Amino acid sequence: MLFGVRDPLFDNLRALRLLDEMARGQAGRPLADGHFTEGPGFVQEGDRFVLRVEVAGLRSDDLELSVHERTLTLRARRREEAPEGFRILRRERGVEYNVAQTVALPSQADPDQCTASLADGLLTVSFATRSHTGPRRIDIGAVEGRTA
Amino acid sequence: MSENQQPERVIERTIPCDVFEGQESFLILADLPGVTREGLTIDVHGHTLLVRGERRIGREHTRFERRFTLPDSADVEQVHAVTRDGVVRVEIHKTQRSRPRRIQIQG
Repeated sequence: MLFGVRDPLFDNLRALRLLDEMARGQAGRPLADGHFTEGPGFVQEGDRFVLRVEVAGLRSDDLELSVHERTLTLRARRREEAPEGFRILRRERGVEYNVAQTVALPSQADPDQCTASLADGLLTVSFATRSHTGPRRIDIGAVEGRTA
Repeated sequence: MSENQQPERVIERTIPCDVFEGQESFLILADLPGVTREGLTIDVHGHTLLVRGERRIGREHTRFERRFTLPDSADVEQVHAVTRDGVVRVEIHKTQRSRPRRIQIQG
């Protein structure tokens, strides 16, 4: 008997989950096969905006995060060889990719206050909320020698 | 309803995996991002191997599951697993009689 991988609900469950998350506008999910398989997005948690990206098998050396103006860019590299002395029976994980994904920051996120952590293949990027985002009044200065 | 009062949202997910065969063992690499060692269970029932994991982030509860049917050549008593960087590595040794062996030539 051959090695069997049983997952009869795989396609249906996955399709339903993607549709569900798209409908809810949920935050981003896995990074695999060279693409974010779902559109990444921020969720608000308390006074912070948080983005989580699944990067199983990657270490911090494989990832690069940068913030430019109002956008966050994540670059990820993964290259995994088959273990030596083993032949491949099944491949589903993203074996090799080198991608960059850019996402816009929420309007209230402070691009200067960003933290990121990587644990168990889950990257968490967090931005503080800008302290003052409401409307403010601008004083109008008078110019000498001119009348209104 | 405030965010804290919202009900927990349960998400069921499959586990992407690679499967390899060597001379002495089978190897499964499975992606379970965000799942700690404590959130991971691996059960063997007969020749069925069941990998499950779960993680909770806020009110989101994600459950991962994947089932494998092991071949007759697998030694179900010799299954070992380690997890690192969100990837679970399960090695299933082959039975002694299914491993290649060299035959001594007489004479």
